[in-house]
Amino acid sequence: MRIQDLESASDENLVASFVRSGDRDALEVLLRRHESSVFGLAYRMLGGSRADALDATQEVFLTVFRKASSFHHQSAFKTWLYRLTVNTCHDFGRKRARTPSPMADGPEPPERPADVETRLSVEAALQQLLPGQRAVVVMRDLYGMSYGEIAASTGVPVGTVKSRIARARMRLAELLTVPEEREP
Amino acid sequence: MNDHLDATTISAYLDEELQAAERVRVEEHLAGCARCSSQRRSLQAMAAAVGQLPREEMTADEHRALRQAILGAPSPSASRWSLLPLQRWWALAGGLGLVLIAVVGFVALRPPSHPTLDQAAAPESAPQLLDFTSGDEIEAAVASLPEVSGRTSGGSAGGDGGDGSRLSEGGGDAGEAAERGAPPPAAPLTAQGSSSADEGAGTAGSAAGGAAGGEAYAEGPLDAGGSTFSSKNGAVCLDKVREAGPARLEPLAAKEARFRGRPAWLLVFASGPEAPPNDGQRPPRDRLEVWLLAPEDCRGYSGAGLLDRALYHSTFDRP
Repeated sequence: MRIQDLESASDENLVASFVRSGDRDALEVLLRRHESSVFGLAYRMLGGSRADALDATQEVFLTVFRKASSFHHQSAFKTWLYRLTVNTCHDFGRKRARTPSPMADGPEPPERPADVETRLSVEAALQQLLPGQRAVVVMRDLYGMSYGEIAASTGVPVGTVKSRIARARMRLAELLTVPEEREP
Repeated sequence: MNDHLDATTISAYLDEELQAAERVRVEEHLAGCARCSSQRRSLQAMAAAVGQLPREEMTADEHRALRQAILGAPSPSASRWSLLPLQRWWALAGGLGLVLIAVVGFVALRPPSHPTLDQAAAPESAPQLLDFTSGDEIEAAVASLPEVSGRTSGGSAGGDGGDGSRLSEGGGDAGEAAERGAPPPAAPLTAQGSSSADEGAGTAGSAAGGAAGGEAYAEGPLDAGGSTFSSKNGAVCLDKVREAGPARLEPLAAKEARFRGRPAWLLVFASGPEAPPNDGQRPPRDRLEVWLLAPEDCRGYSGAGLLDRALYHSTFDRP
């Protein structure tokens, strides 16, 4: 496949092209398409650490490329990719006995001052969720994934996703003081 | 109204993940239940709070570093042992550069005592191994081996489609040199640079007799090698991959190699379309399939589990 074809090819066809002929351009397109979402998800799952999120992103894509031949299209590539991301982040969480320090290792992007307090609170509260809860609620509320997509990406039944999201939101409600509820 | 909605149902309702009938039931309940409506607002606020978080983006430098780490260095199979955190990548690279300078200086001042890949001549007790760092290097090394690139015109063992050539063993050093003078081998030879051309010829003969290849290979006369790399282990590894492979694979060679300093079997197969059973003819083998596997994985795994642990895998047209 040539560049123009690669850009318009589906993820699954890119993987197939790479497996079939070792097409590095196909890999690059896959990386370009998905690196941001993988990094963003990893960032949220790993306590807002840029360094950890970058390491996890690197490992996810290396795993993708190493295991490309074992991707058999039973699911969408994106689902497989998110599943690798979730698993990698869980592994990181287990391996790195570290206290999350949100925003400790990277510059803050520009933001509206009024959001700062709430946002920091939400991020801190997210890190207090169980990893499984954090993953599903971030996938749902930040990345807009359906329950079915989340189930496929996390490897748990839809019913479990449903209950985890609810428990995550209830836990966040306990941890956060939401501005509208602060005011009578 | 005593039967309040549970949070899971309300949460799913907010996410529009309920069936139509249940959704109607929930809406009717919420319309008349202050408690459940309050919980709905709370859950909705939490969803909105998370949703307002920014989707963190990589900086341009981080994009470049990631691309370099993924695409610039180790190619498709970069590996579970070589994962270097990006934040430390350049620091380590700098350190390795210093070490490299020192090593190069040391080697340059010494008289040559070890064969290089190009010089490979006599068997060595500690053969020089191909030490790959990228998929490009692997494919180039495999493609440039005379058994792959230059032997087909010398007589194809199977009379198939120009695929009678075999790789010799020994990581491209001693075994390779010996093979240059040997008859076109038709069977996979196994690892260890000390393997001889005689051994190669014998194995070749056994596989040439059985066009299908694999079984003859497995039972071929194999040399005993080192503890990590031995001909027997290489043969076993080849057979395991052949049996688990996604297509019919015809073993060519198991070569002792290293990948980023780590011992690895370089397994080379010819591949092509399936052969009709028992017709005595092999279909064209116009592709090469290359796997790199850690010796310990070859010993401990088989089937898909082994393939999943491959350090490297690629398929490309046979030169």
